[in-house]
Amino acid sequence: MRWFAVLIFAAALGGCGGGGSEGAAPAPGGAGYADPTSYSAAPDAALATASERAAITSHAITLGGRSIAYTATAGHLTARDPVGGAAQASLFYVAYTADGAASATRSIVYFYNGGPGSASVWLHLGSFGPRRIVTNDPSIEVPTPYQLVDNAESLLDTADLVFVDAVGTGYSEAIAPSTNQTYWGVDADARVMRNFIARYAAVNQRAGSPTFLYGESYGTTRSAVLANLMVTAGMRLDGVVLHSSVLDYNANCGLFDPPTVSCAGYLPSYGMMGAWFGLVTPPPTDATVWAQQLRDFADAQYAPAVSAFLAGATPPSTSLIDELIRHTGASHTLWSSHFNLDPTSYRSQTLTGQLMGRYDARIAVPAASALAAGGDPSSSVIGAPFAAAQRAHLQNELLYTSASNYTMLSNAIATWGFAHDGRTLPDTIPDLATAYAQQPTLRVLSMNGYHDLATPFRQTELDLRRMGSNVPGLQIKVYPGGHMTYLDDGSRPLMKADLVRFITGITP
Amino acid sequence: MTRAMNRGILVSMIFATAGAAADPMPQGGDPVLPPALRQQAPTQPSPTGGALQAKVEEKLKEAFDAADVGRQATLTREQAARAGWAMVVRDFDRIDAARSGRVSFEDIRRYVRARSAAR
Repeated sequence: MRWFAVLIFAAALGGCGGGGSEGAAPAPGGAGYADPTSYSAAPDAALATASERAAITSHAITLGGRSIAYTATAGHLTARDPVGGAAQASLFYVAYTADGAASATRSIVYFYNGGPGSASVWLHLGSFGPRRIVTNDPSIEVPTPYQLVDNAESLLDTADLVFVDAVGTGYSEAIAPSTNQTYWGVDADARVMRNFIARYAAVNQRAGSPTFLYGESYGTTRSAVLANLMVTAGMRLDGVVLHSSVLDYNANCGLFDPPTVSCAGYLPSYGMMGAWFGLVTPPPTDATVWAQQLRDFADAQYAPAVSAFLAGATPPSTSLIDELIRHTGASHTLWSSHFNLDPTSYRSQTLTGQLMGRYDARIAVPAASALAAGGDPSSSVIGAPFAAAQRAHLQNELLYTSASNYTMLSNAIATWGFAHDGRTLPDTIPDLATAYAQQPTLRVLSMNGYHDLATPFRQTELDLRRMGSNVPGLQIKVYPGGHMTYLDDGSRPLMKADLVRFITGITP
Repeated sequence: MTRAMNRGILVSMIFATAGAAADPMPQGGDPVLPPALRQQAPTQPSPTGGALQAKVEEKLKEAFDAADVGRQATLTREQAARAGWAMVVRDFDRIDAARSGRVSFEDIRRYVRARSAAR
């Protein structure tokens, strides 16, 4: 790691706490921003006033043999209502910007996770920022203490990167008289994020820069709504990266209990897992070919049978059950009792005595173990390392300190306003299609992991296909890996290469 | 395809880091629905093809109605600008094929359809 902290701004704001650093670099000399504000993720919480102070530090990273000097900015900006200018919320962000780049031509990417209620720490420290946690995914042997390393796959050689926390996550909070709850709904959340981006762009003279959104999971729901808001408002938007999408809540059977909608969009993912665990005979030799066979089988045979089953409980044929067993490795008992097979049943009843992960189903542990207790071993294994690394990264490398806890995951989901566009649950394909209708030059890159049982790749493809089979500017990519596909050391370089081509506008 | 795991290392890691972390242990909850919504079945199909195009035009009509504060069924460039509807401001002259200085929703729909067909 080569970085050196130089104080550019906020010099008089007092020393950073330093603090314990499990495996991180020693605290540099100088001082950052000791933020005196207390932040809360409670639904009724609000700040009385907000400041736009930030800690600003200088660093360097070598990417592709080239040393890039960059500035990290960690602090808050105030999102304001474009009509009337009322302050709405103080959003916490960390921006990494290459020094000396021409801002008019330098691309900028805004990253956020989802939840709703999740801070953007997973993308910030796991994906394409300049610093990355070593996870050894899909092994459960995450190094301890955590290791934070320079990220050879950082996109900083291609674009400036802004990681922003939604209201009521991280250190982001509403400003009175609104409360966090004011922004805990599909439309209000997208609007306040639009207003944050407008503020960031105005303060940093980036309104004219090629602009991209990178949302993950619920962040893709946000992105579809936000893209249409930005295009409608005339803000520059060149492209949207949809990572592990949930574009239509009404179509993802894993969200329902019991599964009242078709699980056919999950079938190819079950088949990829069957192959991973050696349950498919003969073993597939090429993942891409196998995935296509699974899509074809699901479309031609499983999906119509599930539709008939859901419509009138028409029992499946014996030959179809045999085909399902052959394609997925799940048992006759499971397919017979759960013909519309939901991911929770598949994860818990396919490997004897073991539970597969939801985010990364390649991570399977004994069902009675501590890692299985939370319901998703692949989530349990990375939670604590990310929390510890985020705290140390902010304090010791970015010199931003707060006495408040950084909220990794709030309870926003319990009171979230999921209603959108006349429906109880959001379907955001019409938002994306409306953004396209208003700006046909918009580009979209969809990325999924083959081994994700939260937002399965085939469901994303089916959702996007509703816009037509040939949408110019839409690319769909699938990689080995889970929901946080970038944690896979083999897939992250592939994703980086595809992202560079996407951002620079090179058509594959 | 190996799943080698050292449970001794694993268990010590879990306890060591859980003890050290001051933040609440995050759970993997993305995406999920709260219990009340989880048990509801979606009641209508999601639009596709022509129905999706109709939905897009419905959303554009909502934007039009929001901008048409005087309920005149037409917008001037200034009215579109006041409503923050950038596409109509930017493309006004192309939408206003008759050069009347005002655009109806039908003008906007015709323009968007023609552009979609051309792309």
